[in-house]
Parts: sequence; C-alpha cells; structure tokens
Amino acid sequence: MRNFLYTAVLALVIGAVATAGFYFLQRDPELSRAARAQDAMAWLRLEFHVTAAQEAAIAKLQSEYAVVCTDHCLAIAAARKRTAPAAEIAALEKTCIDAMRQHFTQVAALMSPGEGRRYLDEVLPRIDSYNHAASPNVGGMN
Amino acid sequence: MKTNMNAPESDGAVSQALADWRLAPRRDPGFRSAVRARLAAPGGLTWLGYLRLHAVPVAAACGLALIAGSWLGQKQASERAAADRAQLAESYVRALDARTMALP
Repeated sequence: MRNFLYTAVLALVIGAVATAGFYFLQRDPELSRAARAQDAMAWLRLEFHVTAAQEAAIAKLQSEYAVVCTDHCLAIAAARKRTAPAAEIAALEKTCIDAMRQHFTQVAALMSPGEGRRYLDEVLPRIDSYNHAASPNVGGMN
Repeated sequence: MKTNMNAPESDGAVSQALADWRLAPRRDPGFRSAVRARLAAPGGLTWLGYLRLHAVPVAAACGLALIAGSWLGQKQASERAAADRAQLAESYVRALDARTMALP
C-alpha cells in the first residue's frame, strides 16, 4: 500500500510538473502584461502585428478621435442628466456609434488587410454588445 | 585412506548416486500467498523493487500523467490568453465608447 501511494504521488508530481511546464511554455506573458496594464496599444501591437509606423498613425488617429468622443460623451451625459426624451438620447447614441464605426474602420485601414479584417471582427461586435444596464464607469480615455 | 575424487571408480559411484537421486518435494499450497505476504509486509519490498515489479503499469500511469498534465497546461494557457484578449478588446472598445462614460 505504501509503495502504491508513493507511485501515485510520483504520477501526480509528473502531472503537476507537466501542467506547470506546458502552461509557462505556452502562455503569452506580453499579452498578460498588456491586459493587467489595460494597454490598448500593446494589444494592437501584439494581436494585429502593428508596426511602429502603423502604431504612430493609429495613436494620432486615436487622439483625434478622443476629442470627438469627448464631445459625444458630454452631449449624452447632458441629455441623460436633464432626462431628455428617449428619442433624443437614442439619436445621440447613434451618432456616437457611427463615429466609433468610422474610427475603427479608419484604424483597420492603417493595418495590413488581413489584420484589419481581424481587428474589425474583434471590435465591431463589441459596439453592439453594449448593455446600458451594465455600463462601466469609465473615467477617461486612452 | 585418502579418496581420489578423480579416480574413474569414484566418478562412477558419484554418477550412480546422482542418477539414483530422486527429489520428491512436498507441495506447499500456501507458497504463493506466503511470498505475497512477505512482499507486502513492511520492509518486504523497497519502492524501487515495487517499481521494477510493476514496471508496465507504473510507466503507463506516469505517461498518462504526463499527457494529461501537458494537455491541462496548454488548455489553461490558451484560456488565459483568450481571457486576456477579450479583456483588452472590451476595455479598448469601452474606452472609445461615449455611451459608457460617466462625467466626474
């Protein structure tokens, strides 16, 4: 019985070492670091193989869009605060959605065609999946 | 008187004695169980001896543990990467989504 237990422990140790070894070999530490830091540019770089030149162009586009987005944010927040009619809020949100779509399409156009398509496949469905009831409180933008 | 073991007459006697020798061991029905009991007794068989005795099942168990462990490790790593990707994509989109923002 003792020898059987030793053997079972040996098998468990081999299994645990294999699990840890393959986990550390297969993991993507750069991606984990980007997720912890919520570093969107690192994500674009890693996930869509964005070059330094593309990254600079995307960053420029992003800072231009930040101004537009802030305007939309202020308009939506003001409408919500004064409990504007639902149609008015919906119209403001539609403007915001259209601007986001346009921005994402512009960002995709800066990437290589395949990566741009993959990027749009990743981000566009997330615009539609926005849930008003569970909206996060985002204090700022990238 | 000394006996010369190499003498031909002596060889003949030994050969005859060996030829006439018949062994009739008594059968012990409890022999196997006694051996097993001795092996199972504390200090009866070392772990190394146990591993040698059960080499095939031990190797199979270790191989299975290795395969299962590697599969589990890969699965956990890919799940972690997928979760990181989803989190990054979600926070990227939400950071650019005016609908999700709240004024300070």
